[in-house]
Amino acid sequence: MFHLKIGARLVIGFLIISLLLGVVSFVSFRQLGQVKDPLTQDIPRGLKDIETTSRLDSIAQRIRYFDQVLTDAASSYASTGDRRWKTRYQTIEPQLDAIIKEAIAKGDADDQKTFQEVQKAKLSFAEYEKQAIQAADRDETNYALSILEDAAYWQSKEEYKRALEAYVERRGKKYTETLEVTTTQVNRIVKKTYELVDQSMHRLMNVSLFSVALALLFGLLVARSIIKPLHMLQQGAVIIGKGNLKHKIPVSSKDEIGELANSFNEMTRKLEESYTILEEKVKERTKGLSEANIKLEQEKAKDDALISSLGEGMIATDPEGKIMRINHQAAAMMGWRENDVIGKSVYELIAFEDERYGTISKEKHPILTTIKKGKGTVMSAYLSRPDESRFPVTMTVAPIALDDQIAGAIAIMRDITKEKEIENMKNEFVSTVSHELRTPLTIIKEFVALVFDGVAGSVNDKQKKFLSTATNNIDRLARIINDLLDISKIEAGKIVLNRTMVDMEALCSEIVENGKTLFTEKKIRIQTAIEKKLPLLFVDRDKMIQVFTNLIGNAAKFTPAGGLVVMTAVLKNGSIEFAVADTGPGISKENLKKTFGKFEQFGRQHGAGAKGTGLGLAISKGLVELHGGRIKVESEFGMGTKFSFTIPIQNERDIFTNELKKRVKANQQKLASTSVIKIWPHGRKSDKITASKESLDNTNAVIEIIRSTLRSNSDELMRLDEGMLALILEGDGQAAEQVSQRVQAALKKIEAANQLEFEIISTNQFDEQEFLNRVIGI
Amino acid sequence: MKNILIVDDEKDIRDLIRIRFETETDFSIQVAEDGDEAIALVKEKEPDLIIMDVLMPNLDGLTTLKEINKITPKQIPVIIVTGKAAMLEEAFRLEGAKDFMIKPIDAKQVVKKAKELLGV
Repeated sequence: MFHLKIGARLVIGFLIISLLLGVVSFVSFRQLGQVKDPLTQDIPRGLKDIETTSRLDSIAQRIRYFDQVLTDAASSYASTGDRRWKTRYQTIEPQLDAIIKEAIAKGDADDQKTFQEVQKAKLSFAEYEKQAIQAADRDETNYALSILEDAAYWQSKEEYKRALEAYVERRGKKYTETLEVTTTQVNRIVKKTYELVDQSMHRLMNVSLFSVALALLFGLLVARSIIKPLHMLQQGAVIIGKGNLKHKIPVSSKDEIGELANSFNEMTRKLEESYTILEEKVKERTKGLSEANIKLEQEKAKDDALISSLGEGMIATDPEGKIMRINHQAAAMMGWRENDVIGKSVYELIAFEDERYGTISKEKHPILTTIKKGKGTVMSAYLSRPDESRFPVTMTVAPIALDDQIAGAIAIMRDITKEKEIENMKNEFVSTVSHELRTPLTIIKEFVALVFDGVAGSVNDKQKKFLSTATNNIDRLARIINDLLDISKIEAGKIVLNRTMVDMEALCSEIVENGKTLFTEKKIRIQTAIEKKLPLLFVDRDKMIQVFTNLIGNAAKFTPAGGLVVMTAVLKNGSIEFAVADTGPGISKENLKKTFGKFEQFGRQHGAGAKGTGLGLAISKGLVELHGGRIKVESEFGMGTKFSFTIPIQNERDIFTNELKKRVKANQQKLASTSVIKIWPHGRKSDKITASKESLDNTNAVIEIIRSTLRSNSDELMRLDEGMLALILEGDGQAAEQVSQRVQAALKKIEAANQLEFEIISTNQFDEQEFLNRVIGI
Repeated sequence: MKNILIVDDEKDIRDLIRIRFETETDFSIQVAEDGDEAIALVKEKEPDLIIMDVLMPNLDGLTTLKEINKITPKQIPVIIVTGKAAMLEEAFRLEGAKDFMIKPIDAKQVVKKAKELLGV
């Protein structure tokens, strides 16, 4: 059975079940047939008897009835002579004869005898009635009636009646007997039928149960024969699905499932085959790839070797500033492990600081500006390692351009500690040499002066002239030495700006006032055009004076008598632009570029007066740039020259915050606390009031006094706000308290200071953030 | 009569300052060529004003001033004479440094400052 197809198996299954149903039906039919037999054979026999009897009874009744009708008809005709009675009689009489004859024919022997007696009696009384009718025909009514009253007539009638009654009596007896027999028979049949039905039910039930059991068995067998291989197929599919392509599904049946399993096995085999082929192909390709990889690795190794042998640190970043590659020099320089920093933002990892520990903002990060502008840049600054050691570095950044897109930046870093050391040595050398030069210079100058002043005896005019030439050149030499010192300091980044908020309008007036003698002597006019209400600038006042003096000095030097020098100051793009223009000979184009170089003295014819050192403009440029500004020169040969420079305006609070942070950090390096004495006019703590000129003067007076009481330059006084001062000190709250008392004592001198309030805030009291909040949060 | 102490390791400098003072004032002048000598002189006789060089062999000017401040309770005004402006910051930490001159000095100016400080 198991090698049959599923369809065939199902057909067989159904056939078996149908057959069983057929058997059940046949058995039922047979059983029902047995029940039918007694009903068809026994019951009708009894019933025939009853039927015959009842038919004879009805004949007997008609015979009786017709007799009555005949008697009545004859009697009525005799008495009335109505012919309709005669017709009736003549119609009924033959009918009666026929009925009697029928009864004789149908009845048994006894009945025949009875009905023959009835026939005889009828013939007898009919004779009388026919005579009576004939008499009536003749209108002999009395005669007719007398015939009908004749005793013999009534005797015949009586006989007729008796015979019929005897029949009825006998008939009744027989009927009862027949009924009894029939009842017994019916009872027996019913009983037999019941038994047969009972038996049939049992048999049917057995057959049915047997059939159902058989059908179930077959059903199960068929189902099993279908499900088992299906199950195996499913399990096989799962195993194959898990990747065991070697698995064969062990279904051997020849049915559809067997075919499916075979197809499945075939498919698996093919799959395995193609998988093997694929693997081989992959192996082949992998081999090719690994060859290419080796080549690539070799290339990369070359690159790495190249990058490693750079001798300088290299960091490559993506456009977001995340580190893509870094050579070990850069990692070593920064104190990193290469793998730790790959993928991290260079802006967070590399924070630049200036010489004084000031953080250089992210916006100025050379890598950011390079990526933003697509243009390389060079920067020198200080970097901190994770262990907090610091080193100077020069970073050269170039954009990585790929298909016109900035794909990142590459930075070459050079630890310039050595260079810095050398430069420091150079500066040290310059300053030492300068110092060493100054001493003999001082001696020469002073002794010349002593001779000139006649201390060593009288001096004639010619001698005096010679001596003054000597003095002039000694002064020039001294200026050169000073300028040399300045420029070497600027270049070494050694210049420390002592920045304060400066009213530039006042400063400009002061400078012009101081230069007046010089201009008057040379017969040069000077004009100023200073914009009103310029904001204060956060600058080193002395250095600003140095720049102005330099520019104005140059202008005065090169402008011929009768010429004009114009000094201007205007607000421009968040900066103040200062300019000094003259009507001198101007500078030629080729020399214009060299204007700010060192020791450049050219072109411009200079008039009388001290000779320059050729360093003034280089120093001015350095000082302006130290302030975050730009200096430039515009000139046309023969048309005069205009020097202009800008100084950016800074928000006072930002300046103060930055300065304060710098100081706190610098003091921390020295393991010292920082304290601030806040000084403000009474009742003015919370509102920022634009200071009137008068209150500014008062403030300035207060500042002057406080300055004079400061211990050293490391104590810094800053104007925090109009009318509000902050004295930044190195030291703890106690030290600050002493200074505060001294300041308050000194301030007793001026009336305006009576209303001042003092508050001391110190880093040994609060953490840094709280300290800053308390100082700056006004 | 005011008493001035000039401390400088350069004899020529000492001389030219001394000569200027002698020419222009009637102050009595003492000179010392190094810190130790200066301290000895101060112990002997307290000057009214000190003119002090910074860079000197053995004891430098600033250390010398510290030592002098220890000897005497009196605040002696001091004029610092130096070739190095950077030294000034340190000098001003010390009580007593009242003024300074950067080399090359003008001896006439030194005399003028001394007169101012002494109120003469």
